[in-house]
Amino acid sequence: MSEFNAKLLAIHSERRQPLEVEAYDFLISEGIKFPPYYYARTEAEMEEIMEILDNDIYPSYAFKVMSPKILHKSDFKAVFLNVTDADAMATFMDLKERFAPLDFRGVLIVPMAGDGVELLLGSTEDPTFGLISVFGVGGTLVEVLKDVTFGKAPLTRADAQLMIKSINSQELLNGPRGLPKLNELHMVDLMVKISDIACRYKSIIKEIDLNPLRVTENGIFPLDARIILRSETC
Amino acid sequence: MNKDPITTFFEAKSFAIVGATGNKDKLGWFIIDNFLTHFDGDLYLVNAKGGEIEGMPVYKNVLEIPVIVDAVVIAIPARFVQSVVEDCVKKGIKSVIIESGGFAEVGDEGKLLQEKLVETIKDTGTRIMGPNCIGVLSPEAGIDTIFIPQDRVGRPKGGPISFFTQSGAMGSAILSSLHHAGDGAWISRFASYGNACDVNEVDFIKYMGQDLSTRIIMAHLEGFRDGYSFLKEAKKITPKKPIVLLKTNRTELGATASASHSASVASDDAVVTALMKQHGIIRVEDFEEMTSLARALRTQPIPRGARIGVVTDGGGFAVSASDAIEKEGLSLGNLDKQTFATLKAKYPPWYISGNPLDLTGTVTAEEFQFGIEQFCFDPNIDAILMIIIPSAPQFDVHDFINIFSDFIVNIKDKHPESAIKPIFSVTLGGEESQIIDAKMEKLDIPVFSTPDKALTIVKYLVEYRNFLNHNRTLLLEGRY
Repeated sequence: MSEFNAKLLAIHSERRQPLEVEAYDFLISEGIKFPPYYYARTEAEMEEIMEILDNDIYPSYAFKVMSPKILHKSDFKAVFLNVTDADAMATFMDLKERFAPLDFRGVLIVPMAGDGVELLLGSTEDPTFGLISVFGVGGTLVEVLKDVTFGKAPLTRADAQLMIKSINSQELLNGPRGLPKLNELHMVDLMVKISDIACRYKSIIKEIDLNPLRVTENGIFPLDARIILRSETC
Repeated sequence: MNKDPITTFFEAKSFAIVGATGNKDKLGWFIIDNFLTHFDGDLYLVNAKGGEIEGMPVYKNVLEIPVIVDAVVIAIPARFVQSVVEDCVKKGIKSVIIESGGFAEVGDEGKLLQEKLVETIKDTGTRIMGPNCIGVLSPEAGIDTIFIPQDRVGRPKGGPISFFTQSGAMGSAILSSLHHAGDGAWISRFASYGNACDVNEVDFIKYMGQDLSTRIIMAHLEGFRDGYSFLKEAKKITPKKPIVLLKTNRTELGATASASHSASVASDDAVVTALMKQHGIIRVEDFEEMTSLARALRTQPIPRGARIGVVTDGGGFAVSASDAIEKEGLSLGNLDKQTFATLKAKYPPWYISGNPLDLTGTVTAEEFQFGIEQFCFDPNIDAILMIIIPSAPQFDVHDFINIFSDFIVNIKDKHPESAIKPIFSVTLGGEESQIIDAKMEKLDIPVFSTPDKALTIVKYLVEYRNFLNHNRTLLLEGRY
């Protein structure tokens, strides 16, 4: 068992849900691709990361507060977008101080992603049919469009293809208004992988949620990831 | 949990009727009457009072019957059912149909009675269908446990369709609707299984999937007892036999408040739709679609593709059919050059020789038929919709019926297999349209009241074809 699988088990035995950064760590260990990300828990760690930020190619970053008390970060204004290198340290210190009462654990720092359509990919448990995969339009439009479809897990590549073809907003997948077009083969890979992870870990993982999943020039990347562990087996 | 298969419910060679009565107004008699008329196997009658009915001995209980019957049907008040089921278990009877009401459907007391039944057959070889149901119709085996007389609920003859539903009303309605359609030969196995205390949708799909006399499976469900196993079984069947599902009770939402988006967007009904599609199960919207699809599947080949040909003498309907084709995700086939030339040479210049083929108000019966035939021969057409407006002055309805019948009846002998395509008929007009519809039914051509309704059914067939093709690709690639 890899280091991160052990970490997930450890979180499970602590009877808590993984932080977003822990979900990233786990999913990366299972072969899911994420943009580069950094995690600063202390001022010292942030200083080390500052050197990397100063030297990398990204002009600005998203700063996300990690706390077991915050499930929906936007409700707590716990996400700061477009933070430049120059503002990075001050933003970190500000967040650390402000979120101290909310069990502040650290800040997850990710480069701002390129423009693109936002999708949703996940896995959940249906009371009737068991483990199912979910795919559809993600981001802020999830609740509005409710354009999602489902497949019984584990998904075959053919199942995943069928699901991609099944959502109504096909024009979103074809790259509207000059936005990048969805690479269907990559999407199928990702869907099959997530479904496979959900099946292999079904004894401890209840839900996986990649939302939004942004379709960029450089690939399909999760901008947020959530893993909900089973509480009943804790 | 490996339970005994439910074969004997549909193929029993011996049957006992508990609640037998000679009183010809009572439902116990109607069941006896069914068996006396159709059943070739051994019939035993049971009633606590004993005696004789129609010269047959009446046993006081199941234990008294000198043989172990394959199946028992129970039609007595709920409070007496428990002891009969205990006898059946004691005797080792495989199949018990409990038609009596007064169980879980009436409240807590009935629920207890039903739970006791389930407890009684636990770990035994006895299976229960029901309670609170009309049971089984299996025409080839002569089994008919439906306690409603034949003038009230039609009994179709033996055919390729198997149907199961919990609802007695839905079951009766489909039987009556098919009984009057075409030659009346429709049903292979029918079951209405009421409260489903034991036998459920998984048993039916499994049995009907392997049953050689079943070519098409249709079901009405309000909920799944075991959705997981249902899909597992269905997956093995749909590449070979179509499964049509009418799933009602759509608003029964199981979506619970949850932290993840994936869970919160997963409302029951959308999940059902998507998962049925994934497994090649055709989900229809309502009763009418279900009966229409039954007719289409029984009588027509599955279209080879989505390219529709429309032949009509009504320009307005040509346009509305084109709209419906677009809406259903189908397409109008591009006629082959040869067909186009043949049509041009045949028809006066004001006919619109294309697809839709608009033969206008001056069409004759012979010209209409010519158009249908050319569409049958055209390699770019997968299914044909004819929309007949019989009011055209030179269109002789009887002439048309004669030449059309002649073509359909002899198509297999006179034409290559590629010409045999699914044909659907819509006739709009007064009395003459009824004459055409009746004849079409006799010829096994599905009849619809509007082009839109016809095209919805065509869409289901095309989607099933796509599923089959998809599966074949997987098979060839060794991935299925």
